[in-house]
Amino acid sequence: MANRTDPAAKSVHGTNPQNLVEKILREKIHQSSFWKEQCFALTAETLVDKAMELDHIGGTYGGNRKATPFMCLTLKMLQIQPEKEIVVEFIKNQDYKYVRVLGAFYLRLVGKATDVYQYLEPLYNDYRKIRQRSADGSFFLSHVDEFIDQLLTTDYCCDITLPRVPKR
Amino acid sequence: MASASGVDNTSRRKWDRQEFLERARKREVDQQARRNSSRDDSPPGEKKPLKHRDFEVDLTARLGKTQVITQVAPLDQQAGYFCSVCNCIVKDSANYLDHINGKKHQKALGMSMRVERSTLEQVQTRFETVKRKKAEGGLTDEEFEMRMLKQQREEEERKRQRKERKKEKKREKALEDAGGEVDDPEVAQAMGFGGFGMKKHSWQINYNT
Repeated sequence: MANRTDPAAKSVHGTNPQNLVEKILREKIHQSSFWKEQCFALTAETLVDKAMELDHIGGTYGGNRKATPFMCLTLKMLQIQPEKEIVVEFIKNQDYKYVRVLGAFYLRLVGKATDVYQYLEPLYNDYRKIRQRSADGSFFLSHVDEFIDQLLTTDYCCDITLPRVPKR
Repeated sequence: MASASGVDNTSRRKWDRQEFLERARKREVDQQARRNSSRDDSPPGEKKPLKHRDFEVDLTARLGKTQVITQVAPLDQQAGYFCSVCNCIVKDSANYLDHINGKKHQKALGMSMRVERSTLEQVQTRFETVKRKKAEGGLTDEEFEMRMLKQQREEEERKRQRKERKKEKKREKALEDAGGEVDDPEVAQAMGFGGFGMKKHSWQINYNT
C-alpha cells in the first residue's frame, strides 16, 4: 500500500517511523492531494527533485489544518527511510536551503543524539532567510539558524513533537 | 397423466444424462484452470519495482464541460474519472488518485508495490544533474538569440496570415454586395457607379433613377 512504511525499514525510537508523526497529522497528509499526486512511489532520488522545488516550510495551516508539502516530504522520508549518508548529503547541500532544512528536520526526528548535535550544529552558521507558513496560512520570515535553534532547544516544531535529546 | 402401465408414450424431448454430466465436469475443470492461471499471471519475482509517475495526472480535463450520458453509454463516457487500465469509473478525484496508486491498478501495469531503494551515489549524481540543468537551462547567449529569431519569425507569419484573412473577407463582402456585377462597366456608367447594391437582378426595377 502506498501508505505503508517500507517493510525493510528499521524501527525508530522503538516505533514504526511513520508513527513519529501523530495520527491526526499523518491522516491529513495521506489525504492531501500533494501526497497522492506527487509523493507516490518516490525514491530518495526523485525525492531530491521534489525537495528542490520546495519554497517554504511549515506545519499545518488553515482552518482545515492542511499540510504543507514540506510535511508531506518529511513523512515520505520517514516512510522510505533513506540511509544516514543520504540524509547527511541533504544536509551538506549548500545550494538549496530547503533541502538542507528538510534533511535537518528528518535527522532531528530519527537520529541519535550524538548525530543530531554533530550534524546540526554546523548549520547554525547558515543565516539564509527561509519562508515559513504559520498556522493561519500567512507566511513569515525566518532564518535557517533560527529554525535549527528551534529544533535543538524546543520540544515542538512544525506540529510534530520532537524526540528527546539531552541538553547540550 | 401417465398411462397405467407406466409406458411413456408422450412426445417429450429427452436428454442424454451421461453427455451432460460429462459436459458439466469439463466446464468445472476449465473454470478451475482459468482461475489458477489468472492467479499467477506475472510471478512476483518478475514484477518491476514501483515507478514514479512521470506525467502529471490531469484531473481538470473535463471540468466545466457538459456532456449527455445515458445508462447504456460506455464507461469512458460516463460521469467521473475513467481508468482505462482497469476499465472502471471512479466518481471522485481523491478516490481516483487512490485507485491509481492502489494495488490492483499497479498490478495491472505490471509493477509490484515495493519501491526500490536508492544509493548514496544515485542521490549525489541526481543533485549534480539537476543543478547543471538549472544552470544551463537558463539562457546561454546562442540559445537566446535563436529563440528571439524564432519568435520574430512566428510573429511575422501571424501578421501575414491575419492580413490575408482580412483581404479575403473584403473580397467576399465586395462580391456579395455587388451581386457579381462589380466588373460590368456598363452598369457602372448607367448607374453612375452606383452599381453596388442597387441592381441585384436584371428583372428588378430601379425606381430611383
